[in-house]
Amino acid sequence: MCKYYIYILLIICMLEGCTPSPKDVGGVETLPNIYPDYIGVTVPENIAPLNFLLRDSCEALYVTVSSGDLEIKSHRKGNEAVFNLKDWKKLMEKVSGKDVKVTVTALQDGKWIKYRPFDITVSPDKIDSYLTYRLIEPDYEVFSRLQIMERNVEDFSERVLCDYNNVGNRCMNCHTHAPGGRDLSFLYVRGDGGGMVVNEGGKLRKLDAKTPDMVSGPVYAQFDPTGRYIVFSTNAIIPSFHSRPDKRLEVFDTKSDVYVYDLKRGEVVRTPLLADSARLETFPTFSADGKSIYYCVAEGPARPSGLDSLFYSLCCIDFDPEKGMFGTVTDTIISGRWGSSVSHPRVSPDGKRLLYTVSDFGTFPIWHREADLRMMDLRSGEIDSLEIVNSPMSDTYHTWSSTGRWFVFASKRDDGLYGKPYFVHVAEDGSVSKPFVLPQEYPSFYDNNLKSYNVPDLGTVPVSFLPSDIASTLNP
Amino acid sequence: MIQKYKNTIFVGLGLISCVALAVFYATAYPAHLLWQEQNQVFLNSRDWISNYFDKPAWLGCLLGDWLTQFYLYTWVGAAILTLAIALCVAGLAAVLLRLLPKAVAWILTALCAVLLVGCSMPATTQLSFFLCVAGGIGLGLAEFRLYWKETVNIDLSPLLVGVAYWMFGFGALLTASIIILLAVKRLVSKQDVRTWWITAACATAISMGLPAILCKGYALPYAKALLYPGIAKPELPQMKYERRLAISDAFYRRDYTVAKQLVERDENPDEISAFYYYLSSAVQDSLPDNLLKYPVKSLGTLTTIGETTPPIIINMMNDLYYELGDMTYAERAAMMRNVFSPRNRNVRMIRRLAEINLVSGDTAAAMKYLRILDRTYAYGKWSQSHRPGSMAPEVESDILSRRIRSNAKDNIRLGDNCRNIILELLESNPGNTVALDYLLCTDLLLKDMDTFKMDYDTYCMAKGQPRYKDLYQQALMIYLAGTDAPQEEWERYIVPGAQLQAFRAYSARRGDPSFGNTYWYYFDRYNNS
Repeated sequence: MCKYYIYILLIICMLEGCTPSPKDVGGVETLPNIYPDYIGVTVPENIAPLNFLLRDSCEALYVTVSSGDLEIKSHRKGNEAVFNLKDWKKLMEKVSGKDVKVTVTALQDGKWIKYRPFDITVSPDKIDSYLTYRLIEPDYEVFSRLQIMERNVEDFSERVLCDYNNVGNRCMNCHTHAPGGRDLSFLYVRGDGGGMVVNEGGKLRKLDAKTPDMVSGPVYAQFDPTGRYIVFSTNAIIPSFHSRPDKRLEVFDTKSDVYVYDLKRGEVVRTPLLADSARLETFPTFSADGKSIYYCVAEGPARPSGLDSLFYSLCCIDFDPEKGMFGTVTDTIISGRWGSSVSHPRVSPDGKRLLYTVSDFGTFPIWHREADLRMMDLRSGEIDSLEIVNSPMSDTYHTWSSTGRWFVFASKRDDGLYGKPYFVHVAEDGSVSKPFVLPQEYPSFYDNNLKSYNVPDLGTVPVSFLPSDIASTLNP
Repeated sequence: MIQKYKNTIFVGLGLISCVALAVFYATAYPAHLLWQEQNQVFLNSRDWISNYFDKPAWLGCLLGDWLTQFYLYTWVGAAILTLAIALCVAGLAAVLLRLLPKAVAWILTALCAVLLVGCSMPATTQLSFFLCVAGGIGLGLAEFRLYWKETVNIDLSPLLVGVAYWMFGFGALLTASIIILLAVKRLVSKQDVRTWWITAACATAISMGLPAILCKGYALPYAKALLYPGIAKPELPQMKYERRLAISDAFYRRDYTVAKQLVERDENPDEISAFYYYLSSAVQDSLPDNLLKYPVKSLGTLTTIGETTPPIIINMMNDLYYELGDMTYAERAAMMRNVFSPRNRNVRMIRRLAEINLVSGDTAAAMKYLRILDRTYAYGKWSQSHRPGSMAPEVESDILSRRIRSNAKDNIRLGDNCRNIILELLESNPGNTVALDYLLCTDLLLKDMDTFKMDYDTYCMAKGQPRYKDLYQQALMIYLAGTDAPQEEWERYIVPGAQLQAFRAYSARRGDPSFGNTYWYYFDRYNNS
């Protein structure tokens, strides 16, 4: 038996020997052209290894990540840097709150070249471990083989929450966690026999939230902090296309209203203020204390010829969680105006900040290249334009972590087509750091992947149901 | 003598059949092979390969997709498919020869071979099907026993059913069936009268139970998990579909003349073949010269696409919009074709998406697709020749000419109304003759003379670029005669000469078949409703 171990060791030694080691290293002052771009980012200490590849062609790559005496390395043939998960975890624990220095040395045309090292800041603020998202081609008009996935951001494990195979290849909306670190969440399966599926500690039930007078089932929805209410919009959604190829898709609502579903009583709570047929109310979300609802509203009707002058304002209405009643007055927080249409408001769990998207017009920022995130300080009303966060491509579909120290959003910054989940650290004083993309085990993953990460959502605990549970809930 | 060499004769016949089959695939069925190759993409990348382990039948699917990329080379593809079928047949023969008298075994083998060849005929059958069959049979034949001294002799073959399910999906059902049949044979031949039923019961339980246990983890319903990656059904050769695919493929390779020749070989080409004939003609600036060759209801301009549209029609619309210059809808069709391909991947459309984004000037998006193609076996060079900044001269020239034709103005479209799309393209670039001919010819096929005249006036006369094609002259004569136009109108539109004389002659003999190739005859005789 011992003989076999020797053979295996020999083979490993031979393979290791095949990877050339740096010698006669020359230096360059340029930063390495790595993908994903992890240069100067701030990451939580519990993040998975930031594996990356060098865009410049090279025969071998020697990368060290160090802080003081601590160092881990990736030494491989080819252009990829892949770190051992255990080594990475150990390093991250020890350097929490400090910077690590990443040194990239590449073998190019037979010569070793050392690039200018760069820093990564390791924040002691941990991020929620579980990220859910829908995987869909960036052609939201048609779909096939959709999946809702859950990824553990601390390693590379990923599992299916809802699979097209189990729901008859129907459309499904994204999975949304409730605040407060509970196993409480929902998703929506469209089509005949579909509906909103609520998960309470692994027990699933189908909600019949749609009443005959609603224009559709729930589309954009959020829990309140107690988990008793779900605020949702119903939208008559029209997909359309721009004739200019760089603008691609435009999606707009011809009708939309906002309602609240009381999970305890099993009934819909409504107010005429948010179901005005002359106005388009959408993107509702609860405040951190659950006593008000933020939403977006535009004057209807929406017509294809006038979409470029359809601007959504950010508004707010009181909500009494005890009585389950809306207030009687609406406030306008940000007025929609030329070149500035608000969408997807999200309040941080501590209630201090409100994150939202601004695009030139309309209601579908994921297809608006100019769509950017903004962050409002709810105490002072100051708005941060988040320059370090935004890109020339679409940045939207954002969600806060349970601590409010991080948020995740979908960005198309790499190619303008495929959304990827990017994370941003928000310090106590509200300052933000450069975003970094969800790390992958294989650095070439995003290059090869042909699906968009749609509406990423963070959760502190893993969701405890299986795809087959959804099927049996929908078809008891 | 014959008895002595019977097995040799059967094997010889098998080899001859293999050669004949390979020749058939390579010469009579190559477009089906190319369709398979286009209907997927295989990347030499670890992350790509790791995806195959998310579902059962990883080996069958991985090997199948890896080999399918070589279908691009017709004879290699034919050899691969033939070998895969031959493996299945050889395995079946080995099983049947163990179980049955030789003559019966060979006859049954021949029947199974015919069925398997029939399974290769539909364009939807993937190579993984044959590999899963072969793998399942192979593991069924592999005996797996635990011997220890002389006291222990346990048949562990049922465990191979589990391995077969992991590697070959539904092939495990074949593995289990073979193990059961061999166990029954041992019972019949009294070699194993005590434990045969344990072997059979275990094989049955594993083959049916394992998918039931694993289906939740694989996120598959039980029936789908049991038969993963899917069962093919035998069909007769689809020669008509083969012709359509060959024409579509010739167009894709930009062999427009070959595409037209393939259509011309057909006495009665269908709408799809005629569509490519006319699109090839339009690209060669001769659509009006050929429009009346094959009677069609439309040039594809009335076709809309969606989730129920056959894949070849989505290909057609992708080609149409790409040639017209509408990159938005070309991209939409390409995305749709990707989405509705197995594993949502189609290498033809990934190439097209790269081209579309190069034409649109969207370098970042183009690079996304070019990087994917870099990791394929066959398209790395193509990808390099399309790199922004280092494009091959002929590629750059093609991209730039298309960019000029594409849409420069923005508008919101609710549906794929091709007329509106063409009008927008002509507003952006009145010199887009492909779009102009499609507009005018669509009007003429619909016999909508008022719209034809309006379009001709707007995009030819008003732009100072009258298009003197016989077809348009003939149509204008119908309009002018029908509206009793004054002489100066005739002089404005009609070039004096042979066409005018012919019109006078036709007017005297309306419906005369000797004018069968004129629009006048078409206008009078064809009911295009």
